[in-house]
Amino acid sequence: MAIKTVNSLSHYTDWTVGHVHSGALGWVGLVSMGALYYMVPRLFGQKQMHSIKAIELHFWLATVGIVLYIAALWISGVMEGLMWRAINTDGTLTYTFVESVKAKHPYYIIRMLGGLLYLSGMTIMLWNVIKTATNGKAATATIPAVAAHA
Amino acid sequence: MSNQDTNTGFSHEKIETNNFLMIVLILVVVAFGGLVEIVPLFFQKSTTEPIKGLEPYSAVQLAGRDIYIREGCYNCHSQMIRPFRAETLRYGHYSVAGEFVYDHPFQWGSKRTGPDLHRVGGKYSDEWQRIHLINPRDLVPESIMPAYPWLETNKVDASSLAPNMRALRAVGVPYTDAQISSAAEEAKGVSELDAVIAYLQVLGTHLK
Repeated sequence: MAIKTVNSLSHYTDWTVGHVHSGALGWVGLVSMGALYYMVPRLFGQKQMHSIKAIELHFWLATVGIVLYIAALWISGVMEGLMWRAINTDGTLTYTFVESVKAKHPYYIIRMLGGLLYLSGMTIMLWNVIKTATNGKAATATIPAVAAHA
Repeated sequence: MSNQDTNTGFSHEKIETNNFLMIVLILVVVAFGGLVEIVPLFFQKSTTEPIKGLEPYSAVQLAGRDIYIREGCYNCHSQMIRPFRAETLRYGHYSVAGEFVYDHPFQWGSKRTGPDLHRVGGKYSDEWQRIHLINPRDLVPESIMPAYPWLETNKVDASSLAPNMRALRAVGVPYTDAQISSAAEEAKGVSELDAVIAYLQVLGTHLK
Protein backbone atom coordinates (compact mmCIF):
# COMPACT_ATOMS: atom_id res chain seq x y z
CA MET A 1 0.00 0.00 0.00
CA ALA A 2 3.08 2.20 -0.05
CA ILE A 3 3.27 1.53 -3.78
CA LYS A 4 1.44 4.15 -5.84
CA THR A 5 -0.23 1.63 -8.14
CA VAL A 6 -1.66 -0.35 -5.22
CA ASN A 7 -2.56 2.74 -3.23
CA SER A 8 -4.47 4.28 -6.12
CA LEU A 9 -6.85 1.34 -5.92
CA SER A 10 -6.88 0.59 -2.19
CA HIS A 11 -6.93 4.10 -0.69
CA TYR A 12 -10.26 5.39 0.68
CA THR A 13 -11.75 1.87 0.40
CA ASP A 14 -12.71 -0.89 2.84
CA TRP A 15 -9.44 -2.59 1.93
CA THR A 16 -7.61 -0.33 4.41
CA VAL A 17 -10.12 -1.06 7.15
CA GLY A 18 -9.88 -4.82 6.54
CA HIS A 19 -6.10 -4.67 6.49
CA VAL A 20 -5.94 -2.84 9.81
CA HIS A 21 -8.41 -5.24 11.43
CA SER A 22 -6.42 -8.27 10.35
CA GLY A 23 -3.66 -6.80 12.53
CA ALA A 24 -5.86 -5.44 15.30
CA LEU A 25 -8.02 -8.54 15.73
CA GLY A 26 -5.64 -11.23 14.51
CA TRP A 27 -2.33 -10.05 15.88
CA VAL A 28 -2.83 -7.66 18.79
CA GLY A 29 -6.09 -9.31 19.84
CA LEU A 30 -4.98 -12.94 19.76
CA VAL A 31 -1.57 -12.21 21.32
CA SER A 32 -3.25 -10.29 24.16
CA MET A 33 -5.78 -13.05 24.78
CA GLY A 34 -3.07 -15.71 24.74
CA ALA A 35 -1.04 -13.73 27.25
CA LEU A 36 -4.10 -13.27 29.49
CA TYR A 37 -4.92 -16.98 29.35
CA TYR A 38 -1.38 -17.62 30.57
CA MET A 39 -1.38 -14.97 33.29
CA VAL A 40 -4.91 -15.07 34.69
CA PRO A 41 -4.63 -18.51 36.36
CA ARG A 42 -1.30 -17.53 37.92
CA LEU A 43 -2.85 -14.32 39.19
CA PHE A 44 -5.47 -16.30 41.10
CA GLY A 45 -3.23 -19.10 42.31
CA GLN A 46 -4.55 -21.67 39.81
CA LYS A 47 -2.72 -24.22 37.68
CA GLN A 48 -4.75 -23.42 34.57
CA MET A 49 -7.88 -21.67 33.31
CA HIS A 50 -11.24 -23.02 34.49
CA SER A 51 -11.99 -24.53 31.08
CA ILE A 52 -9.39 -25.39 28.41
CA LYS A 53 -12.20 -26.44 26.05
CA ALA A 54 -13.62 -22.93 26.29
CA ILE A 55 -10.23 -21.49 25.30
CA GLU A 56 -10.18 -23.72 22.24
CA LEU A 57 -13.71 -22.68 21.36
CA HIS A 58 -12.70 -19.04 21.80
CA PHE A 59 -9.72 -19.55 19.49
CA TRP A 60 -11.85 -20.98 16.71
CA LEU A 61 -14.63 -18.41 17.11
CA ALA A 62 -12.05 -15.62 16.93
CA THR A 63 -10.22 -17.17 13.97
CA VAL A 64 -13.37 -17.74 11.92
CA GLY A 65 -14.61 -14.29 12.94
CA ILE A 66 -11.41 -12.62 11.74
CA VAL A 67 -11.43 -14.50 8.45
CA LEU A 68 -15.03 -13.50 7.74
CA TYR A 69 -14.43 -9.91 8.83
CA ILE A 70 -11.31 -9.20 6.84
CA ALA A 71 -12.13 -11.31 3.78
CA ALA A 72 -15.43 -9.41 3.47
CA LEU A 73 -13.65 -6.06 3.68
CA TRP A 74 -10.86 -7.10 1.33
CA ILE A 75 -13.38 -8.12 -1.29
CA SER A 76 -15.64 -5.11 -0.85
CA GLY A 77 -12.59 -2.82 -0.82
CA VAL A 78 -11.18 -4.08 -4.09
CA MET A 79 -14.66 -4.17 -5.57
CA GLU A 80 -15.48 -0.55 -4.72
CA GLY A 81 -12.00 0.55 -5.80
CA LEU A 82 -12.58 -1.07 -9.20
CA MET A 83 -16.13 0.30 -9.42
CA TRP A 84 -14.98 3.87 -8.73
CA ARG A 85 -12.44 3.73 -11.54
CA ALA A 86 -14.50 1.76 -14.07
CA ILE A 87 -14.96 3.75 -17.27
CA ASN A 88 -17.20 2.99 -20.25
CA THR A 89 -15.85 2.87 -23.78
CA ASP A 90 -17.36 6.31 -24.42
CA GLY A 91 -15.23 7.74 -21.59
CA THR A 92 -17.95 8.14 -18.97
CA LEU A 93 -17.99 6.61 -15.49
CA THR A 94 -19.67 3.20 -15.33
CA TYR A 95 -21.03 3.44 -11.79
CA THR A 96 -22.49 6.17 -9.60
CA PHE A 97 -21.09 6.33 -6.09
CA VAL A 98 -24.24 5.00 -4.50
CA GLU A 99 -24.11 1.90 -6.72
CA SER A 100 -20.83 1.00 -5.02
CA VAL A 101 -22.48 1.56 -1.62
CA LYS A 102 -25.31 -0.77 -2.61
CA ALA A 103 -22.91 -3.44 -3.92
CA LYS A 104 -21.07 -3.52 -0.58
CA HIS A 105 -24.20 -4.35 1.41
CA PRO A 106 -23.79 -8.18 1.55
CA TYR A 107 -20.16 -7.79 2.59
CA TYR A 108 -21.17 -5.53 5.46
CA ILE A 109 -23.54 -8.27 6.65
CA ILE A 110 -20.67 -10.80 6.53
CA ARG A 111 -18.47 -8.29 8.32
CA MET A 112 -21.07 -7.95 11.06
CA LEU A 113 -21.30 -11.74 11.44
CA GLY A 114 -17.52 -11.96 11.71
CA GLY A 115 -17.48 -9.22 14.32
CA LEU A 116 -20.23 -10.92 16.32
CA LEU A 117 -18.32 -14.22 16.29
CA TYR A 118 -15.24 -12.42 17.56
CA LEU A 119 -17.26 -10.67 20.25
CA SER A 120 -18.93 -13.92 21.34
CA GLY A 121 -15.44 -15.40 21.78
CA MET A 122 -14.62 -12.52 24.10
CA THR A 123 -17.72 -13.14 26.21
CA ILE A 124 -16.70 -16.80 26.58
CA MET A 125 -13.31 -15.55 27.74
CA LEU A 126 -15.01 -13.25 30.26
CA TRP A 127 -17.00 -16.17 31.66
CA ASN A 128 -13.84 -18.29 31.80
CA VAL A 129 -11.89 -15.58 33.63
CA ILE A 130 -14.66 -15.02 36.18
CA LYS A 131 -14.89 -18.79 36.76
CA THR A 132 -11.13 -19.02 37.19
CA ALA A 133 -11.02 -16.06 39.54
CA THR A 134 -13.84 -17.31 41.75
CA ASN A 135 -12.29 -20.80 41.88
CA GLY A 136 -9.37 -19.30 43.77
CA LYS A 137 -8.94 -20.29 47.37
CA ALA A 138 -9.58 -17.51 49.81
CA ALA A 139 -6.49 -16.82 51.87
CA THR A 140 -6.95 -17.06 55.59
CA ALA A 141 -5.98 -13.78 57.09
CA THR A 142 -5.96 -13.51 60.83
CA ILE A 143 -8.43 -11.00 62.13
CA PRO A 144 -6.98 -8.96 64.96
CA ALA A 145 -8.93 -9.49 68.14
CA VAL A 146 -10.94 -6.64 69.44
CA ALA A 147 -9.14 -5.32 72.46
CA ALA A 148 -12.00 -4.65 74.76
CA HIS A 149 -15.74 -4.42 74.81
CA ALA A 150 -17.24 -1.31 76.12
CA MET B 1 31.91 -15.36 10.39
CA SER B 2 33.78 -12.13 9.93
CA ASN B 3 32.73 -10.93 13.37
CA GLN B 4 36.02 -12.21 14.67
CA ASP B 5 37.83 -9.78 12.42
CA THR B 6 39.00 -7.13 14.85
CA ASN B 7 41.46 -5.45 12.50
CA THR B 8 39.12 -2.58 11.68
CA GLY B 9 38.27 -1.98 15.31
CA PHE B 10 34.56 -1.92 14.46
CA SER B 11 32.02 -4.66 14.80
CA HIS B 12 28.29 -4.40 14.23
CA GLU B 13 27.96 -6.40 17.40
CA LYS B 14 28.74 -3.24 19.37
CA ILE B 15 25.53 -1.68 18.12
CA GLU B 16 23.43 -4.79 18.32
CA THR B 17 24.35 -5.52 21.91
CA ASN B 18 24.05 -1.96 23.17
CA ASN B 19 20.40 -0.96 23.57
CA PHE B 20 21.04 2.71 24.20
CA LEU B 21 23.44 3.14 21.28
CA MET B 22 20.99 1.33 19.00
CA ILE B 23 18.10 3.58 20.08
CA VAL B 24 20.17 6.72 19.47
CA LEU B 25 21.32 5.55 16.03
CA ILE B 26 17.79 4.54 15.00
CA LEU B 27 16.52 7.97 16.07
CA VAL B 28 19.24 9.61 13.97
CA VAL B 29 18.28 7.56 10.91
CA VAL B 30 14.53 8.20 11.34
CA ALA B 31 15.05 11.90 12.05
CA PHE B 32 17.19 12.25 8.94
CA GLY B 33 14.55 10.59 6.78
CA GLY B 34 11.83 12.76 8.31
CA LEU B 35 13.79 15.97 7.80
CA VAL B 36 14.50 15.22 4.16
CA GLU B 37 10.89 14.25 3.41
CA ILE B 38 8.93 16.77 5.47
CA VAL B 39 10.91 19.93 6.11
CA PRO B 40 11.13 21.11 2.47
CA LEU B 41 7.29 21.19 2.37
CA PHE B 42 7.30 23.98 4.96
CA PHE B 43 9.14 26.23 2.53
CA GLN B 44 7.61 25.36 -0.85
CA LYS B 45 5.28 27.99 -2.25
CA SER B 46 2.98 25.33 -3.71
CA THR B 47 2.21 24.02 -0.22
CA THR B 48 2.27 27.21 1.87
CA GLU B 49 0.63 29.87 -0.30
CA PRO B 50 -3.14 30.06 -0.77
CA ILE B 51 -4.36 29.76 -4.34
CA LYS B 52 -5.53 32.96 -6.03
CA GLY B 53 -8.96 34.00 -4.80
CA LEU B 54 -9.02 31.78 -1.70
CA GLU B 55 -11.10 33.42 1.04
CA PRO B 56 -11.13 32.46 4.72
CA TYR B 57 -14.44 30.90 5.82
CA SER B 58 -17.12 33.40 6.76
CA ALA B 59 -18.50 33.30 10.31
CA VAL B 60 -21.47 31.12 9.29
CA GLN B 61 -19.33 28.83 7.11
CA LEU B 62 -16.87 28.45 9.96
CA ALA B 63 -19.69 27.53 12.33
CA GLY B 64 -20.81 24.94 9.77
CA ARG B 65 -17.31 23.58 9.54
CA ASP B 66 -17.19 23.13 13.33
CA ILE B 67 -20.46 21.18 13.13
CA TYR B 68 -19.02 19.10 10.26
CA ILE B 69 -16.16 18.18 12.58
CA ARG B 70 -18.42 17.67 15.62
CA GLU B 71 -20.68 15.25 13.76
CA GLY B 72 -17.67 13.30 12.49
CA CYS B 73 -18.44 13.80 8.79
CA TYR B 74 -14.75 13.30 8.03
CA ASN B 75 -15.03 9.66 9.14
CA CYS B 76 -16.93 8.79 5.99
CA HIS B 77 -16.22 11.68 3.62
CA SER B 78 -12.84 12.67 2.25
CA GLN B 79 -11.99 16.13 0.97
CA MET B 80 -9.10 15.21 -1.29
CA ILE B 81 -9.55 14.51 -4.98
CA ARG B 82 -6.61 12.61 -6.38
CA PRO B 83 -5.21 13.41 -9.83
CA PHE B 84 -6.71 10.36 -11.54
CA ARG B 85 -9.04 10.42 -14.49
CA ALA B 86 -11.81 8.48 -12.73
CA GLU B 87 -11.65 10.87 -9.75
CA THR B 88 -11.61 14.12 -11.71
CA LEU B 89 -14.49 12.81 -13.82
CA ARG B 90 -16.53 12.04 -10.71
CA TYR B 91 -15.60 14.93 -8.42
CA GLY B 92 -14.01 17.69 -10.50
CA HIS B 93 -10.54 19.24 -10.62
CA TYR B 94 -8.03 17.43 -8.42
CA SER B 95 -7.27 19.08 -5.07
CA VAL B 96 -4.22 21.31 -4.74
CA ALA B 97 -2.38 22.10 -1.49
CA GLY B 98 -2.99 25.85 -1.78
CA GLU B 99 -6.72 25.30 -1.30
CA PHE B 100 -6.22 24.02 2.25
CA VAL B 101 -3.92 26.65 3.79
CA TYR B 102 -6.81 28.18 5.82
CA ASP B 103 -8.04 24.75 6.99
CA HIS B 104 -7.03 24.11 10.59
CA PRO B 105 -7.29 21.19 10.85
CA PHE B 106 -7.74 20.05 7.26
CA GLN B 107 -10.54 17.58 6.55
CA TRP B 108 -8.83 15.38 3.96
CA GLY B 109 -10.11 12.21 5.61
CA SER B 110 -8.96 8.70 4.82
CA LYS B 111 -12.10 6.73 4.03
CA ARG B 112 -14.90 7.09 1.50
CA THR B 113 -17.90 5.35 2.94
CA GLY B 114 -19.62 8.27 1.25
CA PRO B 115 -18.33 10.26 -1.72
CA ASP B 116 -15.58 12.87 -1.63
CA LEU B 117 -16.89 16.32 -0.68
CA HIS B 118 -14.02 18.58 -1.66
CA ARG B 119 -15.92 20.04 -4.63
CA VAL B 120 -19.45 19.47 -3.44
CA GLY B 121 -19.91 23.27 -3.27
CA GLY B 122 -22.55 24.30 -5.81
CA LYS B 123 -23.12 20.72 -6.95
CA TYR B 124 -26.56 20.51 -5.34
CA SER B 125 -29.06 23.20 -4.34
CA ASP B 126 -29.39 24.39 -0.75
CA GLU B 127 -32.81 22.76 -0.66
CA TRP B 128 -31.36 19.41 -1.81
CA GLN B 129 -28.75 19.60 0.98
CA ARG B 130 -31.45 20.51 3.51
CA ILE B 131 -33.63 17.50 2.69
CA HIS B 132 -30.60 15.22 2.38
CA LEU B 133 -29.14 16.14 5.78
CA ILE B 134 -32.49 15.73 7.55
CA ASN B 135 -32.98 12.30 5.98
CA PRO B 136 -30.63 11.15 3.19
CA ARG B 137 -33.00 8.35 2.12
CA ASP B 138 -35.65 10.83 1.05
CA LEU B 139 -33.39 11.65 -1.90
CA VAL B 140 -31.06 8.65 -2.24
CA PRO B 141 -32.98 5.49 -1.27
CA GLU B 142 -29.85 3.29 -1.14
CA SER B 143 -27.93 5.72 1.08
CA ILE B 144 -26.49 4.42 4.36
CA MET B 145 -25.66 7.89 5.67
CA PRO B 146 -27.13 8.69 9.10
CA ALA B 147 -29.88 11.32 9.34
CA TYR B 148 -29.08 14.57 11.16
CA PRO B 149 -32.53 15.97 11.97
CA TRP B 150 -31.38 17.89 15.05
CA LEU B 151 -29.33 20.27 12.90
CA GLU B 152 -32.58 21.91 11.82
CA THR B 153 -33.68 22.85 15.34
CA ASN B 154 -30.28 23.58 16.96
CA LYS B 155 -28.95 27.11 16.74
CA VAL B 156 -25.30 27.91 16.05
CA ASP B 157 -23.20 28.88 19.08
CA ALA B 158 -22.50 32.40 17.79
CA SER B 159 -20.47 33.51 20.81
CA SER B 160 -17.81 30.86 20.13
CA LEU B 161 -16.96 32.23 16.70
CA ALA B 162 -14.91 35.32 17.59
CA PRO B 163 -12.47 33.40 19.84
CA ASN B 164 -12.34 30.68 17.19
CA MET B 165 -11.45 33.21 14.48
CA ARG B 166 -8.82 34.86 16.70
CA ALA B 167 -7.23 31.45 17.24
CA LEU B 168 -7.25 30.82 13.49
CA ARG B 169 -5.69 34.23 12.91
CA ALA B 170 -2.90 33.27 15.31
CA VAL B 171 -2.02 30.36 13.00
CA GLY B 172 -2.10 32.43 9.83
CA VAL B 173 -5.68 32.84 8.60
CA PRO B 174 -6.04 36.52 7.58
CA TYR B 175 -9.23 37.48 9.43
CA THR B 176 -9.71 41.22 9.87
CA ASP B 177 -10.78 42.83 13.16
CA ALA B 178 -14.05 43.82 11.49
CA GLN B 179 -14.78 40.21 10.47
CA ILE B 180 -14.09 38.99 14.00
CA SER B 181 -16.19 41.66 15.72
CA SER B 182 -19.18 41.08 13.42
CA ALA B 183 -19.00 37.26 13.59
CA ALA B 184 -21.42 36.83 16.47
CA GLU B 185 -23.94 39.15 14.82
CA GLU B 186 -23.72 37.32 11.45
CA ALA B 187 -24.24 33.87 12.94
CA LYS B 188 -26.89 34.89 15.48
CA GLY B 189 -30.01 32.74 15.21
CA VAL B 190 -28.68 30.72 12.27
CA SER B 191 -29.65 27.04 12.46
CA GLU B 192 -26.90 24.44 12.47
CA LEU B 193 -28.41 23.04 9.29
CA ASP B 194 -28.01 26.35 7.45
CA ALA B 195 -24.45 26.71 8.75
CA VAL B 196 -23.45 23.25 7.52
CA ILE B 197 -25.02 23.97 4.14
CA ALA B 198 -23.17 27.31 3.94
CA TYR B 199 -19.96 25.41 4.60
CA LEU B 200 -20.70 22.64 2.09
CA GLN B 201 -21.67 25.13 -0.61
CA VAL B 202 -18.31 26.93 -0.46
CA LEU B 203 -16.20 23.77 -0.48
CA GLY B 204 -13.79 23.61 -3.38
CA THR B 205 -15.30 26.58 -5.20
CA HIS B 206 -12.22 28.83 -5.10
CA LEU B 207 -10.22 26.94 -7.71
CA LYS B 208 -11.25 28.25 -11.08
